[in-house]
Amino acid sequence: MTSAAVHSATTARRLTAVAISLWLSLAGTGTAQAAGIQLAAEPGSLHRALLYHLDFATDVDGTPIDEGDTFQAGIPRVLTLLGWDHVPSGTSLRLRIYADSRLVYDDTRPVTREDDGGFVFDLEPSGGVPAGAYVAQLDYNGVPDEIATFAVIPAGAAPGPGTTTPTPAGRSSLTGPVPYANPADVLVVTRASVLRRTLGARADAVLAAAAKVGTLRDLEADGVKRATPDAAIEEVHRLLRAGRYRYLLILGNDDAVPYAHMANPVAADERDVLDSWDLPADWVPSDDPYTDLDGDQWTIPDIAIARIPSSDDADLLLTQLGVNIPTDNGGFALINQKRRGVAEPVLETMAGAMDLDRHYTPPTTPASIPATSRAARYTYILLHGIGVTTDSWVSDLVAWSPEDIKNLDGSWIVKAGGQVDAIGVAQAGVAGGIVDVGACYGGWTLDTIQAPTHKTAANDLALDYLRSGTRAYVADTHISYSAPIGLDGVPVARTGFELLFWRAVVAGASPIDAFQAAKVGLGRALDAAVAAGDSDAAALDYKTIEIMGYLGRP
Amino acid sequence: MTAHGRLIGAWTTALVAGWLAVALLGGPVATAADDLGAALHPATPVTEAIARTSAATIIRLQYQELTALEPTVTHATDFGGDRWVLVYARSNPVSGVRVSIDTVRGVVRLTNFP
Repeated sequence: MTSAAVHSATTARRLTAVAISLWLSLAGTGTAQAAGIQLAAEPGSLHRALLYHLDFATDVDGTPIDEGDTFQAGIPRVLTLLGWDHVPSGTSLRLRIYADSRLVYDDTRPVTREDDGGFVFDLEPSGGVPAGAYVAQLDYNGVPDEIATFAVIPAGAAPGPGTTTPTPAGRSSLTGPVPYANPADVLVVTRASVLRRTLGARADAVLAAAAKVGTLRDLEADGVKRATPDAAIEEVHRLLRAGRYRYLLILGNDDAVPYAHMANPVAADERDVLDSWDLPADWVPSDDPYTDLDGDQWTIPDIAIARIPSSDDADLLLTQLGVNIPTDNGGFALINQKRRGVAEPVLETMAGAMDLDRHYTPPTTPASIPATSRAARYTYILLHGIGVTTDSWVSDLVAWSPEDIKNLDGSWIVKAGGQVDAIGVAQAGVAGGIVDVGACYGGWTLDTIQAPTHKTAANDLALDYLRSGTRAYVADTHISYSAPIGLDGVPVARTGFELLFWRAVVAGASPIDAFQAAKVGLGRALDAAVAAGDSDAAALDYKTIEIMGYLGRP
Repeated sequence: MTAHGRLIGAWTTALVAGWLAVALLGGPVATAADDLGAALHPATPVTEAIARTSAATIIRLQYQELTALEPTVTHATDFGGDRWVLVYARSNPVSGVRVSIDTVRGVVRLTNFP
């Protein structure tokens, strides 16, 4: 893109050079706060439009060039790209950019292209973009909708931190160890014969470690083979009723303690998609029946269930059966940029209680995921996934072209154009972290018909996270659904589950208690949906309850 | 007839023709917003044909990258309700849009993979 349009607001407020020390104090954490900007409780676009994340680049040539949030001083321009799937015609979109709290750009444009459209805002002061910490604020019909930051650093300086939402004043970050469940409250079940066969000499060490986590019981201690879900569930019910347990820990993968095969309420909608992968559509893997002691119609677990889903990786098992302490660092989020609107309530829930380092992909690539992500206390990921190739999750690419090449301030045509890897096993893992993954099959660890048939930490992100010492890992075992809901909206589908989970986490609940609270909470939403005649929400809620799993020690 | 009279006659004919055209062709041409609004609020009871039309309009206007896909169409009668579900999805990787339309209330819900 050539610099055709130089906005008056920009030229009138050309910045002088900013000292690097000032940039370091403002870049990332505190930048938005320094600019005195606050988001509304709910984005103005929610339920009205599908907007992408604000994206920064130095040029556009079909795709954004030099996408990122850190640029070297001396560049002629920084473009802010705002794309959308849909925005009603006539909507007013206003972008303001502040440099170290001073307004340096202000432009309002009415939407004329409702679908697959976008605007490119051009910050291009004469003499180039000076160093500084910049905050971009998007208003949707006058209501603050998104805040994003970028930094322009002096030539040769090292990049600073990513886009971080500061902890709101008056709230403290969640810090310190996250206590594990009292061993007296935990029933640990496995089939020891399977672990002895698959772990060999290391089985004794694993079983000894498991015995310290809770009351360890071999489901075949009486000599009866229990390799089927029904047989294993019946025995677990017997053991639970004989004690006073609050948590169940299943030790081993599907070969050791089989997942229940629960009917998929939306199987007919998914069969075509899954056929080519040879993945099941009629049933979904679930552990819920193991603790559904009252036999309610939705099979809601009455006791929280955790699983360490490996039968052959002794190091993973011992790591998870040990003590994994989270850092006091804040949160890290990696979001498919096309899902910004859907993720917003979850992100805002997290950001209300912690420093949250948000990354959207694109522009973030596997190579540009910051090393700090491996030390985050909390992680939230929203990407695409599938149960066969579980070694990466992907995001959507978009292509940009102007409607009128002579009017670059006018509407742009923005179209999705394939997918790109967003994170793989080489970048994943966070010791001590509490991780919530919103990717289809994010928690799938079962063998598959198609290669790679057997899942290990080398080809399965869930197992990779667990092997790295992740404190708790929450994800789904099948196709899951993102639903647009507000911060105070009725929870629906996986997005609703995530909202309930993070609300409980930031309120101080342990990960396993937050997980159980989310299951029970979504069960209530399911009841309400049925009562209201909303059968679609009911079906999605039911499937979500079935497929959400907690991996790790409770 | 004088030239003046012929001019008035032609003008009157054109005026009447114009009014007839407006009366026969109906109101102003619908905008995309009108189309989307109608697709999101289909007439009830929602038949399969209505559901297909609504979903196709929504996909055409909101998810153009999926317009080439043939949707999977199912009629579900569980959880105390009755609905059409149309899924426009790719399998590698799994991504797409699910359009659910309540047959009785006409309520449309859009959800994504994932």
